[in-house]
Amino acid sequence: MISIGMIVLSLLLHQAMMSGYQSSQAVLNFPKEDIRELVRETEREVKTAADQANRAGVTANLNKTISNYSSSIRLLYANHGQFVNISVRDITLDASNNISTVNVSITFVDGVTTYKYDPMVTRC
Amino acid sequence: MKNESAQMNTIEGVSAAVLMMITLFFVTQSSIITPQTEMVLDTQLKQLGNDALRVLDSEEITNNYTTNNTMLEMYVANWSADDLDSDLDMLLTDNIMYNLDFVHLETDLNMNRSRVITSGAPVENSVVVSRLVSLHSDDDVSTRWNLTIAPTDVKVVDVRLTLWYI
Repeated sequence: MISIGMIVLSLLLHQAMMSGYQSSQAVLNFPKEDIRELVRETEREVKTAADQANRAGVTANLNKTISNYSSSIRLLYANHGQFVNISVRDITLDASNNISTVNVSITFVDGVTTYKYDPMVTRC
Repeated sequence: MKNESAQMNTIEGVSAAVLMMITLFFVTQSSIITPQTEMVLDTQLKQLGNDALRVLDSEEITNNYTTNNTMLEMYVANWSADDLDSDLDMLLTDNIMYNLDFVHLETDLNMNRSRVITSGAPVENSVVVSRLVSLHSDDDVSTRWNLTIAPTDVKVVDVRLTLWYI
């Protein structure tokens, strides 16, 4: 009886250890921080680009800046083995012809995880 | 009658021995095949590194009242390796060593990696965390960057922190 009890306990212990191992591995493998960082930096960049475009009075500058940003980000993430695409969907202007809202599409693929944030609405 | 009892005792003895062997096998196997502690340490180290970079890149914690730049953005733009090292040293515990690199694209789209902080050679179980910093034409960028940023351009720098336990 004692031996059977020990087998059951050792199996439970084994299960607990394996679940700890698997959850740690899942945390390490899931690119949570990469995605969070991409979204945060893109939002910040859209706001800065909109501010610069408003100050210059040229709305098209926003598209150029985000296009340059997207090219750089794509190559930097490719260096991590990940694919990223960022594009401007549409821009809303206010009564003074300043950029008020920008809708951006973000795609992230690392071979296992595919993440799409479309549209990411940024109020400038 | 006497012989049957002896037989039963032998069978019981053998079964108990087999059962004990199986138990021993399960117990030893479960403690050997789980390198779980190492994985947990890696996860924790990654979390600590991300937290340290997040604190430095927080918009709420800034020592610059004239611009909205975070401390990390200022350190990267000014190439302030000593300030960055001093803050990371404060945020990370003494048993953690780290190297820090700035990775960015040159104008010819070649990847440039500059070692900014060196603590030594990373060990086998080191982890890498990163944070993005964008440099613009109106930022006060150090001449060490050797960059010319057009008004509609942006230079994205990948700040890569490699950490390991000593």
